[in-house]
Amino acid sequence: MPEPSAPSLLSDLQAKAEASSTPLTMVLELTHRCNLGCRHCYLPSSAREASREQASELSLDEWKRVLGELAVEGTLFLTFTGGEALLRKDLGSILETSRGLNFHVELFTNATLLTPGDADLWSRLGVAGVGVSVYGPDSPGHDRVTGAPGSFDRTLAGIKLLRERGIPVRFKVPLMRSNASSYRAILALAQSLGATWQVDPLLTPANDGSDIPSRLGLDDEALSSAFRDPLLCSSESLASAQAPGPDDSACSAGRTFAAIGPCGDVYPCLQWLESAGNTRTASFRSIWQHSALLLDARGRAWKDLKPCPTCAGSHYSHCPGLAMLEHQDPAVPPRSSCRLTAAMRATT
Amino acid sequence: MKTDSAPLDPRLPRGGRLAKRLAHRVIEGQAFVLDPTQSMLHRLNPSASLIWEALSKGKAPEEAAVLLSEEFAVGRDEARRDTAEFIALLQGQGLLEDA
Repeated sequence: MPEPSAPSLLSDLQAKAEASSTPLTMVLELTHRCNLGCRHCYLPSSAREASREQASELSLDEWKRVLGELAVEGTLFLTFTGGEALLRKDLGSILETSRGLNFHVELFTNATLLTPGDADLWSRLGVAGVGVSVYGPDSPGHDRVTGAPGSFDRTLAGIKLLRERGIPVRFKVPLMRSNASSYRAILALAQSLGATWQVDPLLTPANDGSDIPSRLGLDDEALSSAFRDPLLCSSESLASAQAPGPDDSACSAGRTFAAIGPCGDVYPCLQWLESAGNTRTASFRSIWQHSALLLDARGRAWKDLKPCPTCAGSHYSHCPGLAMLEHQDPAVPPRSSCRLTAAMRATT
Repeated sequence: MKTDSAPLDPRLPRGGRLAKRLAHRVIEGQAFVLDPTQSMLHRLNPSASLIWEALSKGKAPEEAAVLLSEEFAVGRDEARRDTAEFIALLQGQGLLEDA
């Protein structure tokens, strides 16, 4: 009766979720507080602002209710993030509730605050994976970005606690000027620890619109060079890259994916920070099914995109959240889509 | 003669509970089961999904067989056989653990 597992099953699951407008994947941002001060962070709020917001963060009981609602709506994949999720004292209880509801659970963390007790619990609960941000292959390279001396050593110690318990770890490596010549050493470090990696070629603009990518990110030449590196991008994937069809959806935000912020606001995604409703005042189901914002996001197809203001050409990808940040219009292609497409075309 | 109150088919195993490590959800009547330790995604057909959902709610195999019989209009014996076969398959793949 079970059919053989194959990569196409994931596509089938995604297609089923899309056809039934099921919120298959949710990102839950537990707090904006963080113990580091990374130079490229897209959350511009100061430590003081994030601390002030703490009083308004959803309580454990509120998260439990929301998690129960998500399970009923068919959500399978949960990613917990922050800020730094480990600053929530009740993180263990939130994870325990999530796994009790049979979610597939992943976390994003800087791992500096991880204790052996946390790692034991995550292992026992069956946390499926942990994404850990690593910016340099050593203390000078990493700590310069986080602004926290000793953070590299603490992050590494946290990663080791996870790996010793067999918990899958993925290095999250955003490419930036400071690691353009050392990212291969970061990936080698990941490999030596039995971790995988995910390299993001572009930095994200801050939520207040400030232009982090042009200050800290790769320039066009370095970006093209990254795409020519077979360690980061296979020639097959480059050769098969193409613009989606006119009726394809531009993004899963609002279709099968959404995010919930620390105070209960539901967003199409963490880049698209228009609130579709708040879980304190409405059920997730009513927000998901009736919010005009989410219904609009759900109805958008590739053919509805406006011309790129930079190149007027077609792109391989589109991010309506970044489009909102840059142009206050989810249909106007953001610079990142244009730059990525140009870099990929330059290599073929 | 077998009736609704017949003793359990001896081939129907006691079952067990779904392995704790799994993540799973039923979407549009079809169960999807993720085993993170194997990086495996399983898709169950509608009848297996019904049994899976029953087991995930703590129902005994016999109760799952009754549900299968009612929902898919098959005889109780056939439902028991199918349930037993499915449970054996789950056990073989390590997706069940002792209750």
